[in-house]
Amino acid sequence: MITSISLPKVEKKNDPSLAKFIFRSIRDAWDYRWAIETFVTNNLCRRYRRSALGFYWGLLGPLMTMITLSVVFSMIFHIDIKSFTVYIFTGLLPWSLISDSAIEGSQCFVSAESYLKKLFIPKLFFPFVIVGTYTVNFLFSLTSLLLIGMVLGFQWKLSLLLLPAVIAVTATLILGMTILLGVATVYFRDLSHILGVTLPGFFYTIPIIYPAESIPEQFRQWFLLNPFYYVIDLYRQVIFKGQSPPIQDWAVSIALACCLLLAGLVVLKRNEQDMIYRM
Amino acid sequence: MSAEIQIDDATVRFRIYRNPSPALKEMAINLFTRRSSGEVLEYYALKNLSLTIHGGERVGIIGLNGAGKTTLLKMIVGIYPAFRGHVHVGGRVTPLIEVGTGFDLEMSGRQNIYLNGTLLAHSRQEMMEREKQIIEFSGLGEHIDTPIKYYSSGMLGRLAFSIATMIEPEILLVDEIFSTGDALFVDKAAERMLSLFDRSQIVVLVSHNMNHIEEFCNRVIVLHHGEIVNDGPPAEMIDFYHTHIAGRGSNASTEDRSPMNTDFSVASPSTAVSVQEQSRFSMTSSLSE
Repeated sequence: MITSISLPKVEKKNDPSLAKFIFRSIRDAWDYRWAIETFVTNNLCRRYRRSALGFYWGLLGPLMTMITLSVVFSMIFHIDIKSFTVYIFTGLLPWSLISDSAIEGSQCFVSAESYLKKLFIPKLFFPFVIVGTYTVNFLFSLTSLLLIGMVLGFQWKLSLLLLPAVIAVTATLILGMTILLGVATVYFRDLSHILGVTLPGFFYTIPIIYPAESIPEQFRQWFLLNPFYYVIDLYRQVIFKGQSPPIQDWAVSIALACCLLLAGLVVLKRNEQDMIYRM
Repeated sequence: MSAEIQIDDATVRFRIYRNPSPALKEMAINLFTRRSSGEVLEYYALKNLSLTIHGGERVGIIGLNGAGKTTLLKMIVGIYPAFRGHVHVGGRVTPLIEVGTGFDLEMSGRQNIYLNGTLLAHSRQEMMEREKQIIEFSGLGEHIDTPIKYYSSGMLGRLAFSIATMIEPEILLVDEIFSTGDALFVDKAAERMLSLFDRSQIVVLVSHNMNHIEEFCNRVIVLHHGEIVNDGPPAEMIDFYHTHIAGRGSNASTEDRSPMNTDFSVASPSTAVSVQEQSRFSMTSSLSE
């Protein structure tokens, strides 16, 4: 009845093809779209529960932070407040979207243990909830930024129309990242703590609070190896520079997002059956 | 097209990790001391189990604590994938295993109806149509808009039961959920369960209450140590269970008083930990059996 062994082998059984797995996962998650919607709404409302302004804090919160920061910085460094604000926050907002969803997303399966053990819920449900929550939150912040820019008299260009496409790429990217980190954390619980301490440092490797041009020429190629640089740069081009990004920038970002999602799904497929026993 | 459950030679294996996920520090220590951190206890909750259930059957599952009854239900639902073997389920499965999972204590009863309902893959539209019925059946009246953290456990149970049973089941899996609320509600709940049973094509019922088993089932399976030891008509099987299994060990007398199988009616987020501890308790108890 009981056997004690060391280093168990993973046995494979009735393995579906990857395409079939992806199709099935997406179909299952689609069946739970209302639950995803309910969970995202609840997550967002939970923050502002019992406050008089309620949901408007979602807009007001980032608005106040941005105003404070840009006023302080422009006073200290005597820079042009309007372009400085827009420049900083076009980089900062997508970065916080990525890093917040990485930290929170790494916990997505571990924290759902009580659900996974009692209900049959498609595994993709949990990453989708994380991505939904943070993307909607990001939309609020982005709206605040556009409003502030307008008040400061920043000229918004037609390139803003490309924003939904950029956001879609970002959502795909963080979905893949969340699945990947979420599965990894089930097996290695320290991961979310490691992310918590390394991501703030990682922040400085991306030209967000400094312009890319300020990096010495000989080091610049190293900075270009940073995968998140390209996605954040899309925002900078579309919002700040007001230009349509060149095709190779799109290609790199989209390829990166798709690779990450595919990697996430492959890892999920391999561990889907075993995960529940590791909770 | 009638519903069907087919289980071929299925095994469910739990692996009890001394340390479910070793921390970095321990990994480093293990590296130096050359001790493997992957040491696990394996525990087979279900062993080479084969079972076919056809439409129209009402199957009762009886057995001691830790015999694998709930695990069998959870395997059919898909929560615990079989380690070996195949599980084929034809038809929509509705589990009433731990009703009330996913309740948010901060939210009102009404909000929780939507939260819980959508988590059971119902659409918002469907829930809107059923909301009134659910509130009416739960008998919560004006309390429905109160955050459920102020509810008594009985009220919580009534709400959970009302949501979970507001369904059109094909395959219904039930794990001891008769004991919720006050006497009045228990009667109403029993009636509701009966009508659910009548409308489902397959019912699998796990219970320690032999009266329920005898009353509702037309086939009974006796599970012991993760294996089917007998399968047949209710009266015979209950007799078999009493003489061969429950009657034997000294633990038989404590069986019905055990909290394991009566406390499962409501599992709110705050009780998640205790439920987990209970299931761990069930594993260790079966290990020592």
